[in-house]
Amino acid sequence: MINYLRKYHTKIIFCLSLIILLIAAAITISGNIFLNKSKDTIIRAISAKQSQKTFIKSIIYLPPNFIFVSGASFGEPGPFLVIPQTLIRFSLYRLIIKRRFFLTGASFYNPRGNYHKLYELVKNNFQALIDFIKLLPKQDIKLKLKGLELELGRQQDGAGYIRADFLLKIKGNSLSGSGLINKETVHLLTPGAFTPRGAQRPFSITEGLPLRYNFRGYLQGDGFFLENLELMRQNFYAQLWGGLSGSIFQMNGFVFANSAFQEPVYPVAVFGIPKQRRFFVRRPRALSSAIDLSLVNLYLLDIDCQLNLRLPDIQIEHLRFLLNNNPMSIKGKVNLADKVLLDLMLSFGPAKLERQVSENLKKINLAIKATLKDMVFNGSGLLHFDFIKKKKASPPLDKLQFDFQDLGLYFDRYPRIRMSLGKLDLSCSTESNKYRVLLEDVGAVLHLQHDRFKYIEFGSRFYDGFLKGQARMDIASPYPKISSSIRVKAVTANKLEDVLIHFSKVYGKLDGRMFLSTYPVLGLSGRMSIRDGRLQNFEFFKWLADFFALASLKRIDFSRASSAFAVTEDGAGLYGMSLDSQDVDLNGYFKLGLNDFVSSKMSLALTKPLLAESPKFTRLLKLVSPDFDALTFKFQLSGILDRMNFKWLRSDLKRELQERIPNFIERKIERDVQAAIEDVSPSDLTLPP
Amino acid sequence: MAMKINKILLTVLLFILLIFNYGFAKDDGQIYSTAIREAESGNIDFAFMYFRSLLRNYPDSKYTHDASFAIGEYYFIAADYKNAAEVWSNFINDYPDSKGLPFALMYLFRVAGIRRDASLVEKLKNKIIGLKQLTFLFRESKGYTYKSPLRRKYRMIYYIDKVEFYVDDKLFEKISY
Repeated sequence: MINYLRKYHTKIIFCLSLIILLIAAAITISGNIFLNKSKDTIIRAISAKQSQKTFIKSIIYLPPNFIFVSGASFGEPGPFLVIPQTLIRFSLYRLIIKRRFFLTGASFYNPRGNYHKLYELVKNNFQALIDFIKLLPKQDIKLKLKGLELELGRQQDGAGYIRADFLLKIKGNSLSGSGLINKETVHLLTPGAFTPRGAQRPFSITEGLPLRYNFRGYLQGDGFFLENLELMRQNFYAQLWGGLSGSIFQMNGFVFANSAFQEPVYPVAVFGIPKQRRFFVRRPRALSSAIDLSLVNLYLLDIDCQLNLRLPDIQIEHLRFLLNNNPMSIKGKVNLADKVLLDLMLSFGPAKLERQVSENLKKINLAIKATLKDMVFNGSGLLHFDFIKKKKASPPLDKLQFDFQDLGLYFDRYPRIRMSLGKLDLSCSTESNKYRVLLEDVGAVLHLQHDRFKYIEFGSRFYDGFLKGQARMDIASPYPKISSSIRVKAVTANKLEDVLIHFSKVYGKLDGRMFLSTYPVLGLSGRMSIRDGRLQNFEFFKWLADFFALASLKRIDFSRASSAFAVTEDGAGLYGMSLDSQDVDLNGYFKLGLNDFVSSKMSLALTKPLLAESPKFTRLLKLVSPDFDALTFKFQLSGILDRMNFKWLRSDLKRELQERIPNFIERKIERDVQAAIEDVSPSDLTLPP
Repeated sequence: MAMKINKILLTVLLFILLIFNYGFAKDDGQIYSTAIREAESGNIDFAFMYFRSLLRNYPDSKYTHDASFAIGEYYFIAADYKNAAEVWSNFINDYPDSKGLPFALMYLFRVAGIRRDASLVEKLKNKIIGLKQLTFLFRESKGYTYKSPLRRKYRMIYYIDKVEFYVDDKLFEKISY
């Protein structure tokens, strides 16, 4: 039996399907015709909202509620943003019933652009963007950004990309999101710009481990509240919470980081003529985003931040946190106008842990006023270090202060940063002395590309001479290890009296070389020499001049005076001292150790004509052989600085004198001198001989 | 009349006091002599008891200096470093001009070392080195001697960069700088 009913139903279904298909086709075709005709209107509408030229290749309607936009680009010539594919989802129901277009979702696939141009655009239109976001209808929406690539630059030092994925869902009052961001840096192995048409050289890539993030919260009144914002990377973990209410932004949380972590570098050899994105070869690896807590060496706890956002002004009412248990606080104002203006007060320390108290540092304060524009930082400020009272094996500093004027930092070729400084007034004080160093017209280049080691080359005017140097900083440990080499040229020694008071009595041109290192121990060493100068009332020679009636010693002209020096936690010293002058030769070393302990051996040669000036030496000269042109006294000093012991060391002169002087006279001289010394040391214990 | 009686009473009182004082002075001298005799005979335990008795009963005696030094020595010999440290500290404060001072410092230095008191060791080292400012023109060293109440011979020899302490001709301590 033939089932007419079934046949009938099949026909109905077929007809209905055909009708639906025809309607869908009609709607699709008419929709596409409408969109195609409206393309220019849409482009004009988008252009009206922003100043950049907009281009869209095609807009296609996909039933039932999708619009596919291909080849959208913004900015000409050289678009700063290109979005090859965009899928827009809208509410069909509202379009039919309310005849209004309601966006319910948008997915942007593989957008790419120029980071710096986009940054400028966002910065320049920051307020307009905020206003636009505020005007958006409060409705459920899902925004997705997949495979964003922002080019950082194509120069040798800054070649690379920022890549990101982003997902935002708003449903009712709740909002949530997630994504990742990573930076891929290209290191050209040979000098030269990375140009698309130039012959390409081998290079390596630091892939940049992805920073993953997720957040959830809710919208409230005129702001939002984030219940949890989690940031995760293999060397970084942060959890933050807080929100925006009106203009007040409040944030709390904590951060863990491993600053010694080294990102993997992949050598990629590319030869021939590359395409623009040839080196951009891989997606971020699916590495674990969990941090190894045992390797954490940098932690920020108890973050408490409150900002008052009155754009373009941001008032930092307080930003407090513990950096490795050292309290830090920041206050001040930031203005995001055309030029970013900073007026900040930073305070660091003291450390809370007993172990770190022994590090000697009590407090660091930084007051800075600066501007930031076009990757250039300009500012002046005062950096002040306070130290805990001197302890054994710690730098004997009380205070250290850097007063800097007209500091300029140029980030345009980051990670190579140029620095200029109009004036640096460095002063430090110890328990007993104050020191001051003035530098002018300082120029420096910081090389930050290496993950662990940072380098700086610098030069400046140094009083009437100049100074040049370089330094290396190892940031793998919480306390940076610095090693530096500095060269000083043609400085009038007398002008360095603020650096070391003894220079006030030294005249001549000084050249020197010094090495500063903070690891394994803090130390400064080097060598200095002074040409064609003189010593005027130099303390040691002045004492000799007064004591032995040798007036010529009050002014000693010399052709060259030189000495090596070393300052460490164990003390300071002059080594290999040498003074060449017509009537005086001095050689030896003088070391001042902990607790002012002196250790010194010196040789002092005085010519006969000079000694003949003094009636005290007349008899002595008669005793020594006429073969001697000069009398050389070798002596040793030891003991505590203000009551040094003195020993006349063996020498030809001493031997000759001893041969000529009877023993009892030797003993008498010895007693007389000791008595004279005891006369000027009244606190001596009187011991029987 | 009453005034006269008062004057007589005062005179008698003064006389009694003088008599008593005289008696005490004689006693502390005797005790000191006995202690020295015991020390010379090698009975330092008995010598110590006499010196301690002298200090307790005659704190103002002219022999307290020697008695204090002897007691410090005894405590050190007996390895009672806690009491030795206390006695030597008091000795250094009470007799800053004593000829025995360098050796008191020497003992205290040694005790501080035994008790691992690094800051006190450093302080005492400075004090010992700073005791004298010396010149060595023709001599290589300068020495000082002291004979203690316990009849021990002390010698201190200064060189340009070190000081050595000898007790009964045996090197006891050396401090270099």
